[in-house]
Amino acid sequence: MPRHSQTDMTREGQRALRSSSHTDMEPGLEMINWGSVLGGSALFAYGMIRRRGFTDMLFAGIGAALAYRGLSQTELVDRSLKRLALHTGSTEAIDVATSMTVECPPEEVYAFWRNLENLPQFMRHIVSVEAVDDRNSHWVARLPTGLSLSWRAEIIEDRENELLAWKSVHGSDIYNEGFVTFEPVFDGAGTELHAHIIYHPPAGQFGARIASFFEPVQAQVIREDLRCFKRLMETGELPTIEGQPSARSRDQGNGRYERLSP
Amino acid sequence: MKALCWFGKENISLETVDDPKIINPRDAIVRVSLSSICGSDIHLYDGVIPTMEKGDILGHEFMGEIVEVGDEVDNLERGDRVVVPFPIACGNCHYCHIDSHALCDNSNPNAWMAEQAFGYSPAGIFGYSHLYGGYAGGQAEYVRVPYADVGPQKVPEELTDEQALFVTDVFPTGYQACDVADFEPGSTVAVWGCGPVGLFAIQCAYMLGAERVIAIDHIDSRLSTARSECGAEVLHLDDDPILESLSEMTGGRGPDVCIEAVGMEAHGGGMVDWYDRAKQTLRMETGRPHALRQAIMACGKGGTVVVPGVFGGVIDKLPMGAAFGKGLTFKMGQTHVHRYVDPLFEHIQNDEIDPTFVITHRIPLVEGAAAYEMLQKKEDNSIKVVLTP
Ligand SMILES: NC(=O)c1ccc[n+]([C@@H]2O[C@H](COP(=O)([O-])OP(=O)(O)OC[C@H]3O[C@@H](n4cnc5c(N)ncnc54)[C@H](O)[C@@H]3O)[C@@H](O)[C@H]2O)c1
Ligand SMILES: [Zn+2]
Ligand SMILES: [Zn+2]
Repeated sequence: MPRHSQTDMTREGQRALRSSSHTDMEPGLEMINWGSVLGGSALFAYGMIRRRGFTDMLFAGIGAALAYRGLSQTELVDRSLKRLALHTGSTEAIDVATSMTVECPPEEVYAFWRNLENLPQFMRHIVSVEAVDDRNSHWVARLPTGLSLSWRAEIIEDRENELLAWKSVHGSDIYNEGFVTFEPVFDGAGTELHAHIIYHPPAGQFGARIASFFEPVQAQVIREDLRCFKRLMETGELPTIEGQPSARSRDQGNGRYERLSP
Repeated sequence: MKALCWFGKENISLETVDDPKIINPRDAIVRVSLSSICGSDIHLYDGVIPTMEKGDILGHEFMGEIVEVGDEVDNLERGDRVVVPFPIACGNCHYCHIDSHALCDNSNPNAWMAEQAFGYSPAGIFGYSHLYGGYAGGQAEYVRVPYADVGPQKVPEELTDEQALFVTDVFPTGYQACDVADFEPGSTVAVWGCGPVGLFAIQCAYMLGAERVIAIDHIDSRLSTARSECGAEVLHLDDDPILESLSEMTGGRGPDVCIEAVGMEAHGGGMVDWYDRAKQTLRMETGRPHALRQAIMACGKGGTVVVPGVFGGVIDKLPMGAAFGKGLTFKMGQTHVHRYVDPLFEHIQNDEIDPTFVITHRIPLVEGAAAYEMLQKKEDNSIKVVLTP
C-alpha cells in the first residue's frame, strides 16, 4: 500500500492503522442504482472546482460519489441510506499523503493538534470537533453542497510529540482513518509534519476511475489545510487579498486565483 | 483613490478604486509619498509575465507615511515615514529566520499555484502577478502592507524621500548581485544591462572591492551614465564584439563575475533572436535570454554568473556545456530586501552613494501610463521614473 516514501515515524503510523481492528464495511452497493455516468459526476465536480475554488473541495470526492450513485441529497437525509452510499465495499485503500514543515518545536505543534477541538481552525470543512473523552471525538463536516456529515473517531495510537493515529468507528457517516507524525528538524526548532489520510473509494472499475480523478484533489485540499495550520502556528494569520482594492467590478470577482482542474 | 492599473499588454491606465483597508491584524496602510517604475514593471507592460489579471494595481517600489495599523502591529505609528521592501515576508518562517525574505513560506496566498509552477512557492510581491500572490501595488495613493511589523522600515530623518526610495528594490538588487557573488577584492565584474539595477550593481561592485567593472548595453545614454556616474568601462552591444572584447580586456581570463541585469526580454539579433521571439509569442518559451547566454559564454573559469534579471518560465538553448566545462557557479533570485535596508541606509548616510543619480524623470502619478510607454521604448534618455501621487 505505501506508495509514498517513508520515515521511521510514518512507518509506525502505518503499523498502528494495520494493527487496530478494521472498521466494518457495509455491504450493499449492488442495491444502489449506479445509473448516472461517471462523466456527469466528474463534470459536476469540475464545475464546482471552477466556481468555488479547490479549497472548498475537502469532501468533493464524496460529493461526487453521491452524485455518481444517482442519489439526491434529499434522499440522503435517511441516515441508513447515507451510510450505505458512503461506505463502500472496496478493499483498495487510497492513502493521501502530504508533508509540511512548521517553524515551531514538535511539543507545541503536537499540543495544538492533540487538542482536537482546535482542528476546525484550519480544517476549513470541519464545522466542529467535540472531544467525548480522552480518546473519542465527535466530528461534524459540511460539504460545499450543504450536506452535513458526522462521525465518531477514535485515537488508536497517541505518542506524545511524535504520532497520532485515528479511525472512525462503526456507524459513522463516512469511513476514514489516518495519522499525523511530528518529527523535529532544525535542531528541534521546527517540526516536520507528515499527514496520511486513508479512504476507501467506491468499489469496482468506476470507483477506481473516480478515485484516480479525485486523489490529487484530495491531496491538494489536505495540503492546503496543513498549510493553513502552518501559517496560523507561525504567523497567527492567513495571507489573503480578499477585500483589497482593484479596478475590477464586483461581478468580475476579487482576482483570487482558483485551481481549474485537479 | 487613484491607482495605476494593468489591463493587458501595453494597456495601463489610471483608475479610481476603493481605498485599501486593514484586512489582517498585522496589516498597515501606507499613504504613498513616492513610487517608481521598475524594469520588472516593464515586463508586465509587455505582457510577458503570466497570471496578471485585468484591474490589478501595479507597483512594488514605494514609500510613504503610515496612516493606520492593525491590532498586532506595535512597532509603527501613524505618521512614521517608511520604505516598504517589495517582497512580502512574515518574519516567522524558516526562510525569514535565515534572512531570505524573498523566499518566505507564508506570504503568498497562491502558494499552491507557485508550487505547481516552480515546485515550491516564493514570497508574495506587491503588484507582481497572482503567481506572486496578487497583492495590490503601490503606484497608487494608498497601499495595504501585510506583515507591517516586519516589512516597513523607518527612514532616517536626514534622508530625502528620493534618496530612500530605491532601498525598496533596485539598490539592494544591485547590491545583492555583488554580495552573493562573494568575489575577492581585485576581481573583475562584468554587468549586462545599464538600467537602474545594472547601474547600482556597478556602484556596489566597487563598494565591495572590485578592481574593474565592465558594463554592457546598447543604449548610448545609459552607457554614458555607467561611465560617468559609476566609473565603469563600457561596451556597446551592437558595436563591440562582446566576448572578444571581454577576453582582451582581462588578459584572456574572462571576468570573475558576470551579472545579468537584463532579464527575460533581452535585445538580441540574428537567427537565434528570431527563434526566441517566435517561441515567446507562441508561449513555447517565455524568455529571450540573449544576455544570459552571453554572460555564461563570457564568464572566466571558476567564475560566478549572477542573475538578478527576472525570468518567468522556460528558456531554450542555454550553453550548459560551457557552464559545466568552466565550472561556473550560478546565483539568482528576487532580492532579500529586508536583509539590506539598514546597511544600505548607512551607505547613503555616509555619503558613499547617492541613489538619486538614476532618476531621470519626476512625474505625477496621473501621467504614469505614458511613463510606462516611455520606459518601454527607452525614449527621452529615460532611466528611472519616480511618481508622486
Ligand atoms: N531580482 C530582483 O529582485 C529584481 C529587482 C528589480 C529588477 N529586477 C530585474 O532586473 C532587470 C533589470 O531591471 P532594470 O530596472 O534595470 O530594467 P531596465 O529595463 O531599465 O534595464 C535593462 C537594460 O538592459 C539593456 N539590455 C537589453 N538587452 C541587453 C543585452 N542583450 N545585453 C546587455 N544589455 C541589454 C537594456 O537596454 C536596458 O538598459 C529586469 O529584468 C528586472 O525585472 C530584478
Ligand atoms: Zn523592481
Ligand atoms: Zn516568512
